[in-house]
Amino acid sequence: MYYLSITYDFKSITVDIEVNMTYQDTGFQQENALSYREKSLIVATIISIVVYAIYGVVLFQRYQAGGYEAADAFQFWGKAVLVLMGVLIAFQIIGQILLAIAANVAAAATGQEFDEDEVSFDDERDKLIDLKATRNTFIVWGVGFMGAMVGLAFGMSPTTMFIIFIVFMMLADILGNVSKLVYYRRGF
Amino acid sequence: MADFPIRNNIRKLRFYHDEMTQKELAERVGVTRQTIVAIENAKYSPSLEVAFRIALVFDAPLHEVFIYDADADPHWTNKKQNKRSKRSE
Repeated sequence: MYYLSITYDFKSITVDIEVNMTYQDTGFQQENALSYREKSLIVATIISIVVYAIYGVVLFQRYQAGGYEAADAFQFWGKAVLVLMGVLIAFQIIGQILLAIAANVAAAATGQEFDEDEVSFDDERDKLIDLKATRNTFIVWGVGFMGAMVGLAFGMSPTTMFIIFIVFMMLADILGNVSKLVYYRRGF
Repeated sequence: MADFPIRNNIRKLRFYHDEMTQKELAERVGVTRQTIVAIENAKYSPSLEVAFRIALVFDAPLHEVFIYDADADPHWTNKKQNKRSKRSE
């Protein structure tokens, strides 16, 4: 980004023209390019969508094949949610490690220095964005929880309740990451 | 993009201070480089502490680093309009 300012003084005999130019920082890196955190959020969102989708299909098929009675349904869904959490965390860790490796390789290839502060250091803006995104996440999850409770009150089966839990858990997780991405890109 | 009534001269001040980089300013102020980018592009309003630290780095008063545009502040404009409408009643 460049700006040019010219100042001249007619009082002096000579006319001095001062030209000021700025330049892009850090090896002409585009400021509009995705930062490491934004890439991390995109990766996290994609992993969430893929894991929830695949696990949802597997779970549905297993439930239909299992023929669980109402008493067994709680145990089935309890195990399902715990396994889902474990799988999601594992894939998120793998995804973030792969992203970190790719970012370091890309930085080395272009001769730039990888900014480790982006990864290891949360400043006030990061914390504020995290708070706002967490608020959005809890709102969505809260709506899902209340919806499930209302459904139970009206005689809905425990299976339907757990499906609502998992669906809104997925929506809350994805909304949290998307909220952060929007706040980082557009500001707030 | 969020519309902030506060602009700043940070980019120009960095240039006049030995072409300080965003990274250098971020390290001195205690934030990440991305936060400095966001502040310069008016996508984020820093806290008072960070604003004062930035002004201290450039050895400049706060109002020379950050400029408040009251006309662009919807809350300020609304207050002025409400006072005027009450006076005319």
